[in-house]
Amino acid sequence: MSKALARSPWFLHYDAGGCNGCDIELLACLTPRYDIERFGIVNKGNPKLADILLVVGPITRKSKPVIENLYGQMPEPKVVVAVGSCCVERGIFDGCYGVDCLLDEIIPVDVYIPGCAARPGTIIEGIKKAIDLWRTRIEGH
Amino acid sequence: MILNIVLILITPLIGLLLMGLDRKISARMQNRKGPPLAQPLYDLIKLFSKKEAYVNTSTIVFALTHLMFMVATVVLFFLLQDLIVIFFTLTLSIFFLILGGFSTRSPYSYLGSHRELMQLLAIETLFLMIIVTIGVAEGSFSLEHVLAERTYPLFFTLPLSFAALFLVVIVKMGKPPFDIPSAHSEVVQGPYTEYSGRWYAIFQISKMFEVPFFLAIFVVFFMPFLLVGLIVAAFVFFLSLLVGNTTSRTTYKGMLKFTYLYGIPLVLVNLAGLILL
Ligand code: SF4
Repeated sequence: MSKALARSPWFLHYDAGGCNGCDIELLACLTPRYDIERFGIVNKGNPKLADILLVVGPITRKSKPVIENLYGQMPEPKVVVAVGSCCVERGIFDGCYGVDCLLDEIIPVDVYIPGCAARPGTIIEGIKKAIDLWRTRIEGH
Repeated sequence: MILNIVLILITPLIGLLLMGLDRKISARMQNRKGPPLAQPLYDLIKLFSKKEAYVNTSTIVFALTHLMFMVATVVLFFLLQDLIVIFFTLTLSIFFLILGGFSTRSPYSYLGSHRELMQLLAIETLFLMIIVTIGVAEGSFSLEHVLAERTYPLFFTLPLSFAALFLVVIVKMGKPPFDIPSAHSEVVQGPYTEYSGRWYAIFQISKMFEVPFFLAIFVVFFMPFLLVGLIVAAFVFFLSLLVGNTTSRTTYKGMLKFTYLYGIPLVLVNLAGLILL
């Protein structure tokens, strides 16, 4: 039973203001070459059905309320993953006028995936860590 | 009688298997490895382990009623009841799905329900006409009467109705080019948008009844030869996946044209042939 528990992670992908580099790499994980659907991972695009929130890019003033809203709509248990250097620590957007804050200042972040752009292999490893964390949360739920 | 009850009980299991095959075969068609065959089961377990959340009680009532009528459709079908009644329970089930979508104030859910209504308009007319041709050919709408003491398959008298039924199922499968009500990139999940966790699972469960039901109608068309019917049903399922993976979405007008322009003439010609010959 516990083996079957966390085998269907559905993710929600939100670009908070990055350069689209990590978005492309993230979506590359769904393509035949990497095919993360073989682990049951599906891009659902709906916060109410999502288990993993993947955020790309620095948090701009406009995207801050959106992230809070999306996070609030996701039912427990859930995990948050910050993808790419500019989401983890502002990266090349450090000092830009539109950048408001870091992701972990507004919602709890569980996994950080570095790289500019983060490579698909790194992203898959990060998602795997997120799934392990998510499994312990389901069991504790 | 025992056989009928066994059939009803294994229908959801067949549905689960078909959903797993759907994802696996689709993945293979896209040159991917794809999820394991039991993935729909894992999805269900996951959905039930999520925290319960809903928008308002009426959405839940409508979702449950939707499932109830879908199950009723399958039960009536395998108990070989009247085809018209089966048609009505099926329509009611979709109707409650639409009401559930309309009972929240989310624009995606609203738009999706409108599109679902369009789909209902596109296929239910055709489906009812197919049932009427069966009634005209056999002199009765009762499935028990239709299937009793058959010597030749229904397909021989209703080949064009059979073709029209294929159009219905292609639209009903909810795959491209007719994934209009739940078009991912346009209306998120359509009428299902506002459901989460176990309440979304309700719709997955109702799909487990719906898909085998539609394939079972193909078997009816070949009935004294059960094996031929099953092979045809499997072929239809595969063909719907092939169409789904090689086409892109049309508009709702395209969907209406598809069923009304091709489907209704097919059935009418068949009906005229039945009456004249
Ligand atoms: S980490 Fe680099 S590549 Fe990724 S979104 Fe930020 S700036 Fe673009």
